[in-house]
Amino acid sequence: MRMKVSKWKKTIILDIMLAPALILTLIFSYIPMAGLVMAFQNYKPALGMTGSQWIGLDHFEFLFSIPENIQLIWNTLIIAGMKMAANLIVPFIFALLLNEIRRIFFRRMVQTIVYMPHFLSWVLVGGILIDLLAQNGGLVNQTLTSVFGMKPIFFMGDGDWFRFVVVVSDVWKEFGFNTIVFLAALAGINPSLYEAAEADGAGRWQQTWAITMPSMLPITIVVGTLALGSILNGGFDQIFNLYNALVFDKGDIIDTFVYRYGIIGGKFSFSTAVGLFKSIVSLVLIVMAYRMAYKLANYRIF
Amino acid sequence: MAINIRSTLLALLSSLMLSSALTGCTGDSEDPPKEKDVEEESFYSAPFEDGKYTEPVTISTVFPVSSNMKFKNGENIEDNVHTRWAKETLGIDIEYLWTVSEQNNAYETKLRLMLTAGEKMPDIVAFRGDAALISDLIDTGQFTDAGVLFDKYASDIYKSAVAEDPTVWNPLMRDDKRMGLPILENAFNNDPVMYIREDWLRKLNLNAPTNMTELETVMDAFTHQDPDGNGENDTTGLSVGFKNDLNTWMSESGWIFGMYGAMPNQWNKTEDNQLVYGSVQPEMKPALLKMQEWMEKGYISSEAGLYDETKATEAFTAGKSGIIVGPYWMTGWPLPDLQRNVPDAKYRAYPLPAGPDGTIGRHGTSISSGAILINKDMKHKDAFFVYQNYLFDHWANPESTTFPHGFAKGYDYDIGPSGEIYQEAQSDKIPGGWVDAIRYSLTFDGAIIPNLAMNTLAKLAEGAEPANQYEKNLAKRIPEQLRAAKIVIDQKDTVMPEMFTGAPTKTQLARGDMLTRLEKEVLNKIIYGQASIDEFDTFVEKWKSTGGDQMTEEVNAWYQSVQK
Repeated sequence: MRMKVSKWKKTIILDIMLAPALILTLIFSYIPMAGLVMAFQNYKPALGMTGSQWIGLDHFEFLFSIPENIQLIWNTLIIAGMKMAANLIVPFIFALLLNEIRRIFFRRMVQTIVYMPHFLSWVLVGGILIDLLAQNGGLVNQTLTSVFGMKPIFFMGDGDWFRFVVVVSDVWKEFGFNTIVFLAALAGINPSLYEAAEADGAGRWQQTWAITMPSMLPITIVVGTLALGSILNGGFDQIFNLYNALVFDKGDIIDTFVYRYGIIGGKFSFSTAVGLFKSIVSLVLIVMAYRMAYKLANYRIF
Repeated sequence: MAINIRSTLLALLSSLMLSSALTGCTGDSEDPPKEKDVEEESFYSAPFEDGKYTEPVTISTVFPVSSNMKFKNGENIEDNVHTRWAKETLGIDIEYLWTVSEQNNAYETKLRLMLTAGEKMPDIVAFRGDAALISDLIDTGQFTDAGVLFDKYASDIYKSAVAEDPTVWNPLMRDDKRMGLPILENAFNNDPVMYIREDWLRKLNLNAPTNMTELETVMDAFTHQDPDGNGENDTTGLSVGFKNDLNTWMSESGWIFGMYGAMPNQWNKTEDNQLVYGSVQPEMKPALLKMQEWMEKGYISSEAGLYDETKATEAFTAGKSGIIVGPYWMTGWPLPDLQRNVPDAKYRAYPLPAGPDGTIGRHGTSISSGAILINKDMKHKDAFFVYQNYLFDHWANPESTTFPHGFAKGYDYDIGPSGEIYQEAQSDKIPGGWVDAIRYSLTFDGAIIPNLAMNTLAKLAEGAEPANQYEKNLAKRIPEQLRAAKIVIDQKDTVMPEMFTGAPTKTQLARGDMLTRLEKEVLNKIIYGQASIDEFDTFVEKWKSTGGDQMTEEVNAWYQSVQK
């Protein structure tokens, strides 16, 4: 009994320090969840949440009943899936390479330069990309035609190329930022392991395979698991700034559709329903990935 | 088309006559000098003398403060030269329940939140923008039949301004009641004219095109004969940008369809008084084929489908494109950039050319952009009209001398030591800088008589001497702008107006985006040559069967309901 009381006394300060964060989460993340009822209503602003008519799963049915919307969901999955894989692999490899650079100053400089694009807005990058990839006079196509003698490629107007552009530009913009987490993990590896390996006569490749890679596995799993949560996020601001009518069939995603559809009529209910649908899918995927990570790699986040 | 215009003109005329007859009647019955004392009390809801409430009455409202609105002398929207003016001149206290800085549609969002929370609405809600929000606001049932009040209290100038186009009431009609007052804008403001590089025409020994053949000759020369003389094949004939829409507000291509009697993405009237959606009319086909051909020949940029309205102007202002079509105000922005980029470049405004059978068509400008709603429970409903009448009679009225140089001295004008007038262009000479005080007004721009500004500009362009202060002020604009305005007025019979101005219908809300997406995808692919022109017919079939027919029915039902 006395043990318990003193333990409680010990943690009370810490509990108080934690409280603001908990309260904020409660107010801004949990209480608004009550608004999810809108997804099952024909929500009319004038009538409010309590007065609007209940319509059950109509909005969800509507989302799946239209053939074009199935295409949207596929587009989203494909684009988000490719982005997820690329955004895991590229920063990982880049972090490994950067870690091999011995000159601290050069390494820091490269690191800073590559994460800069993360802070650019897609409005800006979109404008630059459209010019850069133009069929006539765009830098990329000029190089392709004059140096390689190829025909110009209509990057922004051909659905398959468009997806490619979306993924590559997203990786270009984000890989520097995503590298940070891997670099931190690399810095955390005990140097004595490398010293021991060196004493045993292991080369750089062997050190990488036997020490660096296994040490990086947990963080890679964490990053991958968390990324799964955004499998239905194709990246609204990016697509919205880059897409056009020619690539609607391959480039239009759920978010851009909700934006257009919601903006026209102020359709709170439908947007909420889509949001809820996305959250449920994310939750299921995260739980599954987490279980798998636990089973296969014996790694736990919580 | 010509018949349509004539019939609307006739309707306009007859309604003008009718309204003047009506006002004549009311003038007789309500304003006879003998009965004045008896009538006075029932006419205004509070003691009123010499155009002013003797005891100040209050109008409560809400207001968006846009980012280009400036304040000086430590003022804000609640307390400034405009609120003091309203109190001193009219005896009206303006009370703001809340104001919001207008970014990312914050005003609209806040109004929607008010709706959501079921809050009590202020006396006056003025809103410019989404018709759906206005419609939702009306449906709360908190607002009164503004039409009755308008008939009773509005001044003759206010009435005739609204009567210039009776269709401005259409979006506000509910069961034959006018549930709001339209906010009027300048007519023809966004109607397109054609801008051509005059120096290129001269250099290549060409004349401005008046028809399709001449237009193609000019575009071909602009594309292939190196008009900028840099030895590279890097110019295009025409700048268009249809990422958003074909028929749009700048860098637009609606006029190409107009040459064939079509006008995409708007509702057009047929000869048997039905509304049809422009993008699915058979007249679209030859125009689409033309655009396909132009893209193939390089007359228009292969990026045109990726460019929005602003981005598409860049080629023209960079001196790499010879023609662009847009409103008369492009002479103020963004066309001056051309001189900055290419110092010896010269452009000139020209009328839109005619199609193969002589047809010219362009989109019009809606003269109403929003609405003023009046609360049922407003205590002094006449106060709003006292306010708005004054601005129509004194601010908008060109004959008035109440506001000769601007709204308030020291704000949007100042008078120098020797009597010279400082306005926006001499902003640095006004202590604290030029501030557009009329923008503080309840209806955003004071009061506008729709057809006045453009017609006056056109008249001045023809060389008329400015007759009054209003005309003198307009005459100070750049000459090319006057010329463009005159062309807009000269070609006003070619306007193909958007006939549907109601709130979105049920099918539009449910299926609208799917249909627009289908439309854009197919039309773009045809222009880009990625789909053959035959797919247009498949598209029309699909459009009709997946909601288009239903939409057409609903739109026509609406149209019949406002025709009465």
